[in-house]
Amino acid sequence: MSSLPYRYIVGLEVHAELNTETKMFCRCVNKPFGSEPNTNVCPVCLGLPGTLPVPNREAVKKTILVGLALESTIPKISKWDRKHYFYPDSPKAYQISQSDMPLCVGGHLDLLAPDGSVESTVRFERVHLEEDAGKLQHAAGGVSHVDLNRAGVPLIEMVSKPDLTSPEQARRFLQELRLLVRAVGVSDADMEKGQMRCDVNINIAFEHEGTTIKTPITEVKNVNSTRAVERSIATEAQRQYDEWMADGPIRTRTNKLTSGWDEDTNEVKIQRAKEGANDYRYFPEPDIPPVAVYELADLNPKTLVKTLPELPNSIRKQYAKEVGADLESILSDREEIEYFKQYIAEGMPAKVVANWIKQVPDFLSVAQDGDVLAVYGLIKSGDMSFSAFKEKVAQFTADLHSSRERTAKDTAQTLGLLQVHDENVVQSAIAEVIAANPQAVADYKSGNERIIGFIVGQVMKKAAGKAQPAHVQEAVKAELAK
Amino acid sequence: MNELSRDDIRHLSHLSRLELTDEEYARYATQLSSVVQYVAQLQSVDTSSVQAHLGVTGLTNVLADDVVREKGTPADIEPMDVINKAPRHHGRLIEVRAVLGGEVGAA
Repeated sequence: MSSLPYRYIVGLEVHAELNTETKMFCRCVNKPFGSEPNTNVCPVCLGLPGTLPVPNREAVKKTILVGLALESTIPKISKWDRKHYFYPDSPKAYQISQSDMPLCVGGHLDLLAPDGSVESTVRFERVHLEEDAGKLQHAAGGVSHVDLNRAGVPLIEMVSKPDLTSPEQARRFLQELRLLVRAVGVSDADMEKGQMRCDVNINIAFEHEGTTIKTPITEVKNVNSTRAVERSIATEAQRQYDEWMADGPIRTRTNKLTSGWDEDTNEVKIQRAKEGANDYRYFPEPDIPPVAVYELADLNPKTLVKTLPELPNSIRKQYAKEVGADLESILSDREEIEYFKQYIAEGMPAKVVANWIKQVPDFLSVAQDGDVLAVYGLIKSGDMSFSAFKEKVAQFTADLHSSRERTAKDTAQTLGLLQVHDENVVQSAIAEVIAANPQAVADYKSGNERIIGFIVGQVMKKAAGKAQPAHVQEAVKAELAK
Repeated sequence: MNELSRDDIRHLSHLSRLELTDEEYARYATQLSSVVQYVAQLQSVDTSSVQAHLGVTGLTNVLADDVVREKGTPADIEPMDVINKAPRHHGRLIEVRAVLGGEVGAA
């Protein structure tokens, strides 16, 4: 596939803001978007002295749910740590995070091929819970403006192992992770709103004069769209290769570089040699006791795992082959997933349900008990065609709901959607068409089954509105089989 | 090992965003070294029979329900009172010296 002289070694650190009501360690409204600056703040998230942070149990629960969805191990004890860094977006000058005892350890996410089989597996290091920083706006005159509405918003960090081997795979992985946190219902994960953000860790490996070279890792921050993930990896990998080939400093550097992705210029901008983990001076957060989740009824992972919704990959494994590409758009919408599962459970074929979700979404969203199956029954029996139904679906819905006694068949009748089927007319039409098209009949009999569409079409024309296509098809087949 | 060098102090002061003079580097190297040596005395204690613990309170599972605090509770402050105490502000925004191209947030 690729003729590049190097292999990609890529891991992602993906942050997602949890959709809780309140912040992580205080009971301010969690609403970083669309509030006046510095309104959802209090002494805790402003980092004022003498305040006591108390973790949000719903945020802990949502983090465990993500871990369970990734099949992580949920340890018995988890704790909080302070990660120190000086930057105006962090009023405390440290972030409350988790270092060596996160809520979730390990895990994996599979990427599936179109037929639902596993194409690749990306493993996770961990998923931990921390607090988001405030927002800085760089203004004119050498100053920045600080808004702390986002400071203290619950943030999960999902850290993959460096299992990704191409820019395209990394993009798909991020899309898949976004789909997963949405499916689990813990984050809206809108990347444009910054609810999901991604840092990319990348280096490359290649053979040079008989030895395998591995370049030092660059961490690319601010990679905030799925497209940017793909581009930044390709760009940075090539930059590392070029620097190495030009005998640049990359040959002797041992530390990790931190850089930022510039969306406007498509450039990786090197910012600094990264502060090592020691430089963050992690230490256990003295103000927050550890969490022992198995001791709490509402956070016990053994109970929580039963509340997980069916995950996208499970649905794909059952229906990807049958439904095809439409399944992906259904999976991105929780309401559509509900319809999909509901009507399949009620006996409709998955392919039909997927088609209806695309074609007549408004009908499904207002349908009352039994409506959908009743309409499907009419279409299946040939009494009404789907295309005729779709054309008048708005009128149909209004009429059907105009009174309780109204049945789907009454409505189809009123709107002139019922198809008449006169067996005598059909039989004589079939006889005429067969007689007039000996070549088509011969083709069919010699194995060209698709030609039956032509024959049915001719019969429908001759029967002039007194035939139902499904029945005609059967009758033609029966006749030709004689 | 317990003796801090001037480079250690230079590194620490950078992490803490402190500008120190040469004279201060020397002074703090001596002072911090004695602090480290003082704490290092703990290493002579035999802790082989003591279990590691994760906090001094002995508590676990102190969590809060995800419910927005009510008006009038102590944490319910008027943000402008705090914003006005910042050295500079621009309307509701706190104003700081620009930090461009340097450190990026840890989150």
